[in-house]
Amino acid sequence: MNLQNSEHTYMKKQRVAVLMAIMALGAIRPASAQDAKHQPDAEIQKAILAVDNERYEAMQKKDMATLDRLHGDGLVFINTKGRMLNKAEYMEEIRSGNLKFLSVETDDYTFCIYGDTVIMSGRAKSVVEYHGVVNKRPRRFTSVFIKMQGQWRLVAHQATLIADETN
Amino acid sequence: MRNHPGRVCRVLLLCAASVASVCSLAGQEKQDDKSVLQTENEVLQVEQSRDQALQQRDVALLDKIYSDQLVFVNTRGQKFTKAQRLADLGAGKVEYFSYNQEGFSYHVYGDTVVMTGRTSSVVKFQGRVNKIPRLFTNIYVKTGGQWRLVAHQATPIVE
Repeated sequence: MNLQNSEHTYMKKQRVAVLMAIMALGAIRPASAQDAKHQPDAEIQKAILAVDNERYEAMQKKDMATLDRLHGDGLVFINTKGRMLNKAEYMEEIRSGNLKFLSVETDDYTFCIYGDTVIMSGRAKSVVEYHGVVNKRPRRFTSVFIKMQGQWRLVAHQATLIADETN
Repeated sequence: MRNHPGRVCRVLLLCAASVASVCSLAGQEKQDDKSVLQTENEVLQVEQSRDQALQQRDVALLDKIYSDQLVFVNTRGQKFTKAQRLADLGAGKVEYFSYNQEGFSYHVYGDTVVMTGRTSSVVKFQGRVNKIPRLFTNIYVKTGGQWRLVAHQATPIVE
């Protein structure tokens, strides 16, 4: 190899290395920045609703593998009785049949999107059996979804019974 | 002395891989303990400021702490916007007789913090005095370098 070819090869390899470095850096930008720019809010809302529907279906079918995937390991779940459950406790309530969704009905949603965090607020009229007691009363809920490794996961949920204002 | 081309490439790729590794961890919300602790302390300070502002009806401070998109659900399952909440506080429709919060826990996900706790504050709202202990979730998100409350929900504890 003569000197000219050697210099050319050297420069070419340097450019390739620099390009690869730039590509590597570009590929690992925080997902929040990417999604905030490239995914419209309507698409995010649709994705969250799809995940929530999948979650309810999995609960009704006791599909524990799907539930494990759709809930963050740090899940904080506060039910209408003011009882706080972690992910393991919540999953066990479903697996054991202590928590059953006899019907699912949710509406009146609002979504607040902060990059890879979505706050979903809504009203639920689902009929739920919890430790043998059936609850049909409407309730307000707040669910927090965070996108982790490309998957939206529920990391927090709280439900509160809607008081009968005539009382 | 001139660097060998292969050596330069390896060094550049190694640098890229190192940075990629660090950034990848950040993207996965795997923050180190020191960073998580610092975040928890920052959020606790904001929460304490909010507590004082609520008791002193400092609407201007609450305006800074509350996100414009705040979703606030009280123990009766009523939902309020930021404007509604601030208007009620400013008009004296929310009155705290005592203030007590405890048992905080935090889950930190980068610029989002899920904070839970228990309160037994005595508060009057819409003519009703609420003394029942309740669990709450506060969601804080860092926007523009400032932690802001974006969602709050409280649920009475049924023994």
